[in-house]
Amino acid sequence: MSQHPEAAARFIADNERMAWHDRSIWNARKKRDLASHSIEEWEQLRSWASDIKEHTLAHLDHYLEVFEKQATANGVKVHWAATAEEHNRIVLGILRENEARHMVKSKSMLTEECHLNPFLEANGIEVIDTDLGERIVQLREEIPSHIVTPAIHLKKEDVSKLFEEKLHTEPGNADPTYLTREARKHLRAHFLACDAALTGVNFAVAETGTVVVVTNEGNSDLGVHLGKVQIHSMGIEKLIPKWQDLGIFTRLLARSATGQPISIYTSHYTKPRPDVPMHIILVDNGRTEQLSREHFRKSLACIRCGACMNTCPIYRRSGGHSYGSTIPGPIGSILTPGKDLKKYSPLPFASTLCGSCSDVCPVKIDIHDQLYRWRQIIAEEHLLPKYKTIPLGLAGRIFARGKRYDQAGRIARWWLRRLPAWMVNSRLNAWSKHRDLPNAPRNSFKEWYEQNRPHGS
Amino acid sequence: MKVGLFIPCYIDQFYPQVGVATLELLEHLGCQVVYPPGQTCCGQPLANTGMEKAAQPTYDHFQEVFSGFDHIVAPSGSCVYHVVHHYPVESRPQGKVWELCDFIVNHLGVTQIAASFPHKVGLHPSCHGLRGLRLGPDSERVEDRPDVVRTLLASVSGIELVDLDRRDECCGFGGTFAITEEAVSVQMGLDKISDHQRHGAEIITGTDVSCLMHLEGLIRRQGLPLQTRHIAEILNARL
Amino acid sequence: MDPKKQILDRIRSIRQAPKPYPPQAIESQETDLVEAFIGMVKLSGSTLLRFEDQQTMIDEFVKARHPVNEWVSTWDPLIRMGASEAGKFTDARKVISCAVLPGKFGVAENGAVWVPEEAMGQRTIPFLAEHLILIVHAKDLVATMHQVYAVNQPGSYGLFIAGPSKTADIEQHLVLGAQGPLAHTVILLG
Repeated sequence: MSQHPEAAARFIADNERMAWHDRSIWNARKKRDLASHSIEEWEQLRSWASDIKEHTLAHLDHYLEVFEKQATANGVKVHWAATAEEHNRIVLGILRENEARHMVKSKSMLTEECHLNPFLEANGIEVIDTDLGERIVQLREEIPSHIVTPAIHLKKEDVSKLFEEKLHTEPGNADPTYLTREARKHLRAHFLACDAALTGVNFAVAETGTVVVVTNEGNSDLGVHLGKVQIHSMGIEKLIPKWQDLGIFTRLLARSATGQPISIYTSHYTKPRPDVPMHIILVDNGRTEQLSREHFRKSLACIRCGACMNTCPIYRRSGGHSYGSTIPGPIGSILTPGKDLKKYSPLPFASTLCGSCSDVCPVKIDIHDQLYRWRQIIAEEHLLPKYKTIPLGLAGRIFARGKRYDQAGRIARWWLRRLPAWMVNSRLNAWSKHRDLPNAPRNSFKEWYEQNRPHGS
Repeated sequence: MKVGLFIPCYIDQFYPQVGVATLELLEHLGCQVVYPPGQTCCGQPLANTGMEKAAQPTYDHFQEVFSGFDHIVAPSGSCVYHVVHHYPVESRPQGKVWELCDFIVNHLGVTQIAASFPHKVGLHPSCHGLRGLRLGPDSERVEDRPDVVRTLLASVSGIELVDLDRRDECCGFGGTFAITEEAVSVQMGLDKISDHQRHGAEIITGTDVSCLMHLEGLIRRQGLPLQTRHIAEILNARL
Repeated sequence: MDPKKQILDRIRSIRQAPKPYPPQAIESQETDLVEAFIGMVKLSGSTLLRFEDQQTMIDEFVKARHPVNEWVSTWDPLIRMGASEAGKFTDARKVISCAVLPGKFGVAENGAVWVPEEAMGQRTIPFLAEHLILIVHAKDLVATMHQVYAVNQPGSYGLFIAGPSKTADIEQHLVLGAQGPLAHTVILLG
């Protein structure tokens, strides 16, 4: 079972590093604020994006078929995969068919979700992640801790050490420009040697059969244009109906993600190069199941900008790895329970329901409401721990009767006033480990009211 | 005007002075306030933990206690948000349920309070009031929206409102979150307090005693030179 | 079972209320396109140069200072002056010091330039060049992404380029020159 509270406590124990992590991600949130507040019609864009996504999800079968038809007419081979295993087998099949053994990959959370890399490696394929952050976590044999900035949990000294060991860079040189240049050389060699490229997909346009991939580094295009076969893996929820819709989504995506007015490269792949096969794999892997859940359907509108992570006060203070899921943070906490409710049942509780995630979301996913909904389902499925259900069940019975409540309150305050301070503020109690309890007054408000407003007001 | 006063359970039990201030403030503004005696809790602690079903009798009780009022006012954004947003429609009371500042500004039409509070004050806009009830503009959305809480506070004589680095980040209370995610909750609270301290606040105020109770607990444990006050106490600090 | 049928059947078995495609009324904004575009290009870490027309640019920029024969381009005037034709470029391992390509549209709100496949000669050129220069005519500037998607076409391949390749993956330090070009220049004509 994923144990967010314990993992978060460990993260916080290194207090200085936690504070650095919080600050540097809060910076991304601040940049997002500057970028979005410079667009007067921001809220209108969010509404349109939300409506377009809801419309697409409501007619997903139609748009998938339109997309397949268009892409096929463009000379692209379209595949369908109901599960992660099917997806991985399709990729391997394509690579074998093209006698490819060296594949470069640009950032794709879907392939993380499908655990594609270990599968291909076990089948003799070399896979190189080419986004710098993703390459860093790959070399560390970790998963990304953030969906936009995968190595956000690492300091430059960590990267320096890693590169010294793996890429033989100068010992102790932690200058980010130096390290980036060294990575560039290392990756350029892999681009030139690759015989296949795989990318994730940001948007897929049904009416034109186009897949759109957004990067800042240019790694998607270098791979796709240098490889002998190009593969694009996408979840079926990435569809949008029209070419024109890209106007809305490209205005929202980078501003929400990093505060840039647009990413450096927004690449539109529609037709293959001559003699270079192009494949698109449409992956379900639990998405239709999420679509069937009325309260959680909207989570499929996500465009993976990461803004909900950047704004989440819990994410910033507990780190992406504390969630134990492929997609961390608020959006991960509403997507992942749908995959394994028992395993991920602590995740919807890793939130104060402050609602910042929902307001920052460029497609208006009601994330905090969905977290609340998952909590209800977790309780109904009897997955709540007893230390929650027993006292709260008792409280429920007390709250339902005025007299019971008055008595319980009187007794509790009586005890709190008489117990020695060390016991009231015992560090064994989670509340008072770091916090004092409030002073217990002799009279409740109700008692004051009865004495001071004896006949009502 | 007859107003049903809803005093949430933790205020009733631990912060009765906030209930008194709310009552006196509303009376001073000319409302006829009735406090129905059988009231308990809105049921939020259960529901936020997932136990909506176990909370249903509490909802029914709330509805019964507050039947017959056109307006129900509470000194809490969070409890009001729970009633208007999470109660099943058929369990909601007939009358309109208001957070105190919202009621004063948007129902009574009062934006100036004749109160005096000569202190440096930091406002903690509790999330459920801010983003749930939209009592003001949050830092995420791009909109012009009057801020009812700030409007009332700013009208208080002698008050100096300090600006924060992160004006509306959550304080980390979150109900049972404060217990189950103790480490994060405490860290968020400490960060919130140091933001107020850095900007010279002597008093932290807000619309919700729950957040303030969490912050006060940390302040007292650390022995910091800072206090918490519910906004009703400041607005009722009569000239 | 056929996965396509399986996925489509599952979707069709889910009861969802129809949801209309939203009507959008996108107003074109009243902004000084040239000024906004120049500002955004500079903000992205690129160099912006402006010339009255093509001839001035050739006289003042190309002839004056630059080794055109080391350049790769798809633009006829430069090819006539000795630049290599991008379409004939074969060896990806050879370093291209500079590629000069005509962009089709410039977007004022973000400084991005739309480059269709025809303008590249081949798809690798904008990424293998160490320095990429894009030429845009002032008359081809549009205000926002809405306007540009109303006029550009998917074609076979095309992209927006909004600066030199960059990354902030190491401790959020911005580094210009990630996998693609190290430097980016936009030349605005007119």
